[in-house]
This record gives sequence, C-alpha cells and structure tokens, in this order.
Amino acid sequence: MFPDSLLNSPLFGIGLTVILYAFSEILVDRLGLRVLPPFVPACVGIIALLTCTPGVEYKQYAAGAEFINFLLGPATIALALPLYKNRKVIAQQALPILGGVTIATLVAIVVVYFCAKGLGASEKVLLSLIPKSVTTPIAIDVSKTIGGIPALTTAAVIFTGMLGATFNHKLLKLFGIKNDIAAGLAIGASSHGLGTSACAGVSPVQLAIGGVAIALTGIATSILAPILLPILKSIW
Amino acid sequence: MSPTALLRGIAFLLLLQWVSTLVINALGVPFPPALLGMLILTALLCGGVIPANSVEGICDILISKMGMLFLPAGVSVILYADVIRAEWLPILVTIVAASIAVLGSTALFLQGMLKKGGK
Repeated sequence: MFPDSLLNSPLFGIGLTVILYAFSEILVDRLGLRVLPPFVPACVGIIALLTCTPGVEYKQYAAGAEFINFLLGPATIALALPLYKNRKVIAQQALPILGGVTIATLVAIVVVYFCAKGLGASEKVLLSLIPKSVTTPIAIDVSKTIGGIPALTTAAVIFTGMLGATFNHKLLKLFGIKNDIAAGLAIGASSHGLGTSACAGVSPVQLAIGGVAIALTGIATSILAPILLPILKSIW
Repeated sequence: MSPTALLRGIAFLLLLQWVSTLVINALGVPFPPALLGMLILTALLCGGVIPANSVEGICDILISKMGMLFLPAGVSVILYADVIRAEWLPILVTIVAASIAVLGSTALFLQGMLKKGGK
C-alpha cells in the first residue's frame, strides 16, 4: 500500500491531506455529525496512520504537506474579502471591537500565566503557552521574543484552534451570545484562523469579524505580552 | 466562476503575498507577511482599486476549505510528543481554561457594549 516511490514523493503528503479531509467531510455529512469540524477526524486519521504504519515517517508526510501548509498564506490574504464585504458594520462598531480585542489579549495572557504557574508548569512551557490564542506565524514570533519554545507554541496554538473549532459555538450558546459581532470577535480572538474557519458555514458576519480579530489580537499580543510579563512576574 | 477568473484570482493573491514579503523584509519588522497582504487587499477593495468579483471565487474556495490547510500544522504536533507528555496536565488545563475565559469574557463584553450603544 505504501511503496517507497509513493512515500518519497510529494504525492504522499498532499494526497493524504486532501483525501483524508475529503473523506472526513463525507463522514461528518453522512453520520450527521454537524458539530464536528472535518479537521478533527482528518487530523486524528493522519496522525494514526503515520504513527501506526511501520516504515512510514513524519518527514515523508511533511515533504508534501508543506505545499498545503503554504496555501495558508493566500488563505489569510483571502480573509480580506469578508472584511471588505462587512466594512460598514466594522466601521460602525470600531470602538467596541478595539475594546474587545484588548480584553481578549489581556485575559489570555493573565489566565495562561496564573493557571500554568499554579499547576506547576516549567517556565519554558508557561512562556510557550502565552501566545496560544493568536495566529501561528505571530505566535511563533511572540514565543521567541519572550523566551518560549516555538515548537511547543505551535502545538498549543493548533490544539486551541481544534478545541475552538469544535466547541466555540456550543459555549457561546451556553453564555447566551446571540450577536454575530460579539461571537465572531470572541472566536477570532480566542482561537485564530482554525476556530474562525468553523464560522464559514454559520455566518459571513462572524467570519469577517473573526478575520479582523485574528489580525488585531495578533498585533495586540505581540505588543502587550513583552510589557505585561515583567509585571506579572513581579506579582508572582 | 470561470477557470480564467480563478487563475487570475490566485495569481493576484500570490502577487500580494510576494509584495508583502518584500515590504516586511525591507522594514525588518517581525510581522507575518500574509497579515500585511490581508490589510493591503482590504485597502485595495475598499478603495475601489480592484473589483471584489476579481478575487471572489478564489477567496471563497480558500476560506471555506481553510480547515484542510491547517492539517499539516495539526499533524506536526506529533513532533513535540515528548514535551507534551512530560507536562500534559498543566498544558491541557491551561489551554482549556484560558480558551473558555477569553471566549466568554470577550463575547459577553462585546454583547454588553453593543446592546448599550445599539438602541
């Protein structure tokens, strides 16, 4: 099933990613699991296949998967379209949006700091978790700046996004949030692009505001994290 | 959406990313080029420099299947299995607690603000 000629070609990584994602979409659709983003079964499936199949290495997957990962760049730029389409709503609500982004950034840093410290995480791990709510490229930069492990930050960012994509809408319902601007901003600010991708089928306003939140929280975190950390360290 | 429009759309997005990368490199600031590209494209659309329908098809495809594009990053988690295994409990609890705290506080703050300022 996996001859070397396949494993050593980009077809392996690209094929595995696209085929398993398409299969997960069918699975989620057929079983009526609307609550589950196709990302989750696909991710679990690929990890299981890579770790359980003898002779298959992560490196071989990564060689092709790199091409798919590259498309995150154009996809991030594409978020400009929902931004543009909802420019009127955004301009009208500029102040609450900026306030919300500031709150999200502060809560993220403070809660991560005290929670990780209280549970006895090592300092390296704690610092790696600080930027976990922002988009991967910014999170990696912040992690480097404050002394975390960028690789662990990437893992934390993705896990946060997976949790968000699966549970955000259920939690917001629980909190009684009905406003699409409030929901979109909270989703983008707490679980970046992966969480926001789950808004694609729900509401174009959520998607647009999510895009704004990703950009603004990223900027706010890269400014506030290095300022806030010394203050938190002096408290505890 | 015609194949030609799709091709031109992706060509334009790649061009924007290229330009953004050049700008970021020239400025030497730690900012992701794709986010700058997003801001530039928003400005171009709002300023009426390019019509929305010229990028609409490709943007819709990329956004609606963004979950798939995150798969390689998601799978790369297996590389850090050792660190995660050593401190899994604080990592897990912190991520879950902070995610709920950020989501809840931001959404409730905004809903409150919008209600007050709305009508």
